[in-house]
Amino acid sequence: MSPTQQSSTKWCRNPLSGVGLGLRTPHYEFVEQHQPDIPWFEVLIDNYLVDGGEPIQHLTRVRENYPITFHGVGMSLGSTDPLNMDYLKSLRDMIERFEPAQVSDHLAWVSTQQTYMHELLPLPFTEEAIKHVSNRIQQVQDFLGQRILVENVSSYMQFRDSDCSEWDFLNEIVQRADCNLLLDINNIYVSAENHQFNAQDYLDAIPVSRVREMHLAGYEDRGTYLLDSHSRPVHQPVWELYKQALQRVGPAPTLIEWDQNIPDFNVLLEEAGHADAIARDILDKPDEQFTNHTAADIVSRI
Amino acid sequence: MNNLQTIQQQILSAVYDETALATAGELVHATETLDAPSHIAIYRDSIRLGLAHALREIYPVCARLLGDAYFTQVCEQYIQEHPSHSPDLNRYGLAFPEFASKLSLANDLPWLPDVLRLERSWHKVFSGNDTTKFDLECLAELTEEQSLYACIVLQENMQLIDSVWPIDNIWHANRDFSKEPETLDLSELPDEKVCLMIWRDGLDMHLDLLTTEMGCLLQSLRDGDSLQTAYELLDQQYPTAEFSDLFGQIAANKWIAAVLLD
Repeated sequence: MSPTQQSSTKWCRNPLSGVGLGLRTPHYEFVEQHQPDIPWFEVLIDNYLVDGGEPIQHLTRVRENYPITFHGVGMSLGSTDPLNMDYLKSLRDMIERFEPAQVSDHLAWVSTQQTYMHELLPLPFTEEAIKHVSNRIQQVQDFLGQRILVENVSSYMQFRDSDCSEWDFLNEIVQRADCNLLLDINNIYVSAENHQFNAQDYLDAIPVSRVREMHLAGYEDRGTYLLDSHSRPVHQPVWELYKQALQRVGPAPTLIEWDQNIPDFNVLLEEAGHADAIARDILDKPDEQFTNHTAADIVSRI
Repeated sequence: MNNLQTIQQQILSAVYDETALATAGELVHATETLDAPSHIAIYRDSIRLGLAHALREIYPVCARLLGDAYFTQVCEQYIQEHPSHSPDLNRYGLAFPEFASKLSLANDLPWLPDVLRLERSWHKVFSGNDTTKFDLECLAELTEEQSLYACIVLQENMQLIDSVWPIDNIWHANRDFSKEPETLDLSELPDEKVCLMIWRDGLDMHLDLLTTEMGCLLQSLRDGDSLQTAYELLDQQYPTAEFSDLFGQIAANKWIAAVLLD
């Protein structure tokens, strides 16, 4: 049976909305047995590009009851190596098979000279990088036959060669590549603290019509810098920034990320509940909704 | 201005060569809290920790046997010599057993490379292809002549390994991390090699200790020998072995994926 044939109409087809959670190995059993009231799950797709076995079987069961998104690190969109077509073919097969609501990767490079570092390395904010990355995103989108989302990363270094701000860099790339944006609120906060810029300036410059998802996570304070560890509850300043992002962007599916020291599922549910309560509070206030949107922004989001 | 490729090459160099950190540091800004090379070192350390973590995931028993500090040290050497060349971290560390066999620790712990091979096999089977369904009726329908030259295709996702050391016992004694490891006397080798089959039925992983006769038959089938050749080889090496019993076990375990008549 081909991958396409396997993806019959049995998949849950709810539209993506609300606060989702990452599907992580320690929670497979809980999710399958209890089917918690979560609107969608994010799948770290690089962990599922295997030939068979447990991960695929769990993903299949979860997919029957929930919408999913694919989130990856392996596209290496910023790399100067050629695109890894084997990786993209595997990804395309999985997209055909599981029909994720959206597919995302990072505005970063993870490989060079055919060496993979499995780490999201930032780019210099230069015209050369804008051209290079935009072109690669377009190639990926052409190959996959769909728009992808690119995520802003946390960073711990800033290149001397950069000649614009991160938000200008991001804006230019999403426009030129005609891709969508996964806005990671924690990453904005972490980078703002590490590089001493104003997170509000970042948010103010975001092309809201391109935002299709937001991420929230907990960072770790290493003394000399903040580390985007995904190992803690969301910190208060990040919740505050999330409120501001909601006011600017409006409703967008939001994910609670937790990838290290993974707690009981109930802890994640509490975090998701908190994010949901914030979103309802902000978005139920018509005066504060879409305050910075133009009519064109709103129309393009529909 | 440095071009993108140069920047990426210099950072890659800094990951694998500490002396290149200073040069790469010239690419980035220092901050009030960290000098420029320290910013790159954050990535360097994280990359190397991530690769070591991947090795620990694939080889948990050996990590326990060597102890945290020593295993980390061996990982560091491996990472230095074996960068990752795949976006799939699952594939990282597949040369670790051969690497370890060349280290001096293999003199002190001669069984270690074979235990590493066992763990690698377990890892491969865990994420390998699911079992291909095979209708055993196909075997019953073979004519006498066909059964002579028919070749049995075994399931792809099975790993057959052997060792002069009781690696199955070592593995079993150390894989339950909720218990203290058992102490084994390894001063005397088993009378004959241990032959192991690692396989998966659905999601159930199996590590079976095989008789040497079964090991011989499976190896012959895996080598692509016809049923007749496999039978003769077994008869030659183990005259008392019952071919039909052994073949029955192979069929019962669903180890057969197909029969080839060409």
